Amino acid sequence: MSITSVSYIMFVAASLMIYWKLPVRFQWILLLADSLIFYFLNAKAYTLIYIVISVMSVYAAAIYFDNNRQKDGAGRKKVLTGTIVLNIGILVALKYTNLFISTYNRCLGNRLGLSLENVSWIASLAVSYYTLQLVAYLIDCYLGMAAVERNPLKLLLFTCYFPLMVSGPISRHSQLSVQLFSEHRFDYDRVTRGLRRMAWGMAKKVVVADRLAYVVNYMYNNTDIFSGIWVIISASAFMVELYFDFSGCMDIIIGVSSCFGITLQENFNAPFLSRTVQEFWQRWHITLGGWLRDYVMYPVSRSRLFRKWGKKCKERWGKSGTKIPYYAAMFIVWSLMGLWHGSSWKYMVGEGWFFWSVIVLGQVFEPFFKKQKKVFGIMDDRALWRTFQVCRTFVLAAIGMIPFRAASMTQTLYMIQRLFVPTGIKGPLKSLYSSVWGQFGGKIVFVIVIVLGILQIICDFRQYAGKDVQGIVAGCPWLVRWSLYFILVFSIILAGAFGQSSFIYFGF
Amino acid sequence: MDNLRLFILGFKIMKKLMMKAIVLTVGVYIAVIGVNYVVDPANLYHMSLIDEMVSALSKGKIIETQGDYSQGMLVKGIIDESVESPRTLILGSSQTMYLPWEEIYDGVLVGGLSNAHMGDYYAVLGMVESRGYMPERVVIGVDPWAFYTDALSGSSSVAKYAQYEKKKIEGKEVSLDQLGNESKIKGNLDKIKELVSFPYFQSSITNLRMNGVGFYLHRKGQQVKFAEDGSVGDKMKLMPDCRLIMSFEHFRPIEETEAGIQSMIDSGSLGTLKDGFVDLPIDNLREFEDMVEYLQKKGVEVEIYLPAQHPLVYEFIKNDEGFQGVLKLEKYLRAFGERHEIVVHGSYNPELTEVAPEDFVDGSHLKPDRMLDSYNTIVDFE
Repeated sequence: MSITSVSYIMFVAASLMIYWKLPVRFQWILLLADSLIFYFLNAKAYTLIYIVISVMSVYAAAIYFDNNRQKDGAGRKKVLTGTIVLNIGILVALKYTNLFISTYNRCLGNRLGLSLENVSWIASLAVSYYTLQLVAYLIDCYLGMAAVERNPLKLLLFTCYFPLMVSGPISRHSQLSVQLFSEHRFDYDRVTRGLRRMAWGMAKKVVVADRLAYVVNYMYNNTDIFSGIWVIISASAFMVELYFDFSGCMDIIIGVSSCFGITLQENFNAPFLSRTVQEFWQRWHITLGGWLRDYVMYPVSRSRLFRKWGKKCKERWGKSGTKIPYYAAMFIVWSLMGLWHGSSWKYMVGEGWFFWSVIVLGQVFEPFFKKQKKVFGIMDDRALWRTFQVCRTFVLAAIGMIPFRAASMTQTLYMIQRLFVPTGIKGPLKSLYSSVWGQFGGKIVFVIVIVLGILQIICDFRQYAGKDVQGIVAGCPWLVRWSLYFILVFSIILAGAFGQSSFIYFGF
Repeated sequence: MDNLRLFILGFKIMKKLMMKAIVLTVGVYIAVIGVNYVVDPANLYHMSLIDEMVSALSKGKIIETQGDYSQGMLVKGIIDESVESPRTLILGSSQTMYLPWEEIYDGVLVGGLSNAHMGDYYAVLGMVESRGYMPERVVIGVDPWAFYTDALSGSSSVAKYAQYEKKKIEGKEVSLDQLGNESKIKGNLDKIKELVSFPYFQSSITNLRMNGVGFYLHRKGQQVKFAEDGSVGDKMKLMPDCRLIMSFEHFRPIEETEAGIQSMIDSGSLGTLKDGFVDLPIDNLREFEDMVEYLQKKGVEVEIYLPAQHPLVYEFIKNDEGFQGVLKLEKYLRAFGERHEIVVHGSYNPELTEVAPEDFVDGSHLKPDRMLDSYNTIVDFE
């Protein structure tokens, strides 16, 4: 059941009608029932066992922590480690076994004649999302930073709350549990904001992202034609497609939750207005970056081992030497970032090491760049300089995302190679037009896509400035508002690429 | 008490929101359903022009042809509606579609398609065979351009029947399922789903933009006009066996016809014959032979008809190096006919069938009665 389908809208509508009629203490039970129904409609029923194992293990461990606060730390640490290993182990087994097998075969197995066959295990829905959520909850309970949940069904709801099962956001128990289990009264403004956000998310996904996909697919499937500057153009087009796809999905998820009175964390904050790659990743997939920062970066960089290493580096190389363990910790974080995105080495290289390299090089050469800026009189707050930074960051991010879209590492390398093969503009443009225009849907669709794109840019600027994005619409007279609603809905119906692909980040 | 008041207030506000949501949803769906029903690009809720033509012709009516319609789909529709196999199936181009076949044969179905190439012979045969029919006789009107393309490159609207027939001829396994249900979604549930479908709405809007609102507002059921008889009139007519009756407009003055032909000759390109051909297209001819041999194995009597070319056109063809393939083709077909005991009617050479410029209505078509005479002429060809 796609969240852009009519059946999903009917499912949510039916749930809402019951939800707001129920006594408030039963609302979370309805959400749990809805979540299980949603799960069974979108995944193999038996895969629920993985979720149950994860939930029960974390539940038991958290209870143990709560009952043994004063006890010996070693025992608590063993339980923590064991439970994390179990849950991460399930994730790794379900998602990465074939990566290890293919790597082993390529490096050793094929040469020794001892190659292994790939497995065909089916993972539970959203295993990458809920595993991180549960691990975070477990660690917070261990540290005493989160209240322990004593109702296993409530913990189950936290794990498989149905809007999150699509593409996150990766939520913290301390924030989400308050939302899920508090009593909600019907709030007209909140629900209408949620509905508006859902409609906007649908437009972004079904109209912009899915229409742009025709262009991106054609360019990526014909890399021989689209070389030189076209590699950057195709990478940029995919970047835009990915943004509208993922953020559109987030809008729908956050909108749906808002209708239930539940506030979820934002996952995007005008990422294309970032001035550095580091800032980009603070604005793109915010919850994943936050999780890696809080549960990998800080523990690793502040661990005894890394602090000792830092001291040794300082003794040897002075103050600048202390950066080495920091960069090493970042390397681990970015490696995990890449791995989380998919079970293939191309993700490691693209989403992982490429961005790590750009950030580290940026920091290493920062003193040099500062000097050059002084020499050339470049001021940080100048509009031209800021525009350059924004464009530079966008292009770097787009290049980093090439492996995400490319079919394989081979195609990625081929595209990078083709970057240096100059090609004209007219020929590829003609090819693109003749092949894609018919599929694109005509002039009206093109105009609708452009208009929605511009509106999203306006929304991003408002968000960047910390202003309320929906405020413009909410403040209009009712006739204008309703006209806009009808225009938006008909834009979706007229220009939507129905029956296109599912969300790119679906069910990771 | 406060809780109760809050609950009632919340309920009233929720009711207000629900009403707004219903208004928006109903408004949208009224528009979608309305447009889908009125425009109906796949003719799920209205009989298409083709359906109406087929219905009228199947009941033995003579109709006036109106506007553009798919001849292939019309023939398909007639075959589907017929209760028995045609006894004589006519294949070919417009050169066969005006000929009064009923004066020679019984149970005729004129399966000709304008500018037919060999792929269209395959397609019409495929339509007949997929229905489970096989005629007793097949007359193939072979135009000089017929073998420019192969067996699978005919009219796109019926191309899959050509693919079907080719597989049958090659003895390969073939299933009717591969032909699909190209005309309509049959089930009522499917029809209702399409009525509220957004992709169908998009197709409807595209069609609406192409044809204009007026086209759909005036489309109310009956689109076909009946004709009283099969005489030449202001409009072209269609007989129940799919034979065409020319309109007054078809009959051009001789001077105009000759001027038009001369203009084509000067340009070096003769209409569908284009720039001509020198060598016989062996591969495509092989497919033609396969088709004929297949029919003969099935006990079908095959006859070939070579429509006469206009004297001016033939004179040009005879003397132009680029069009020698036409002469070779006639020799080839006659030799083929002799080998396979197939009667070859008429000739591309107008002298051999004794037709003169005044016997033509335009640069390529004889008058219908002269077409009949031409067909009935079995020439002594050297």
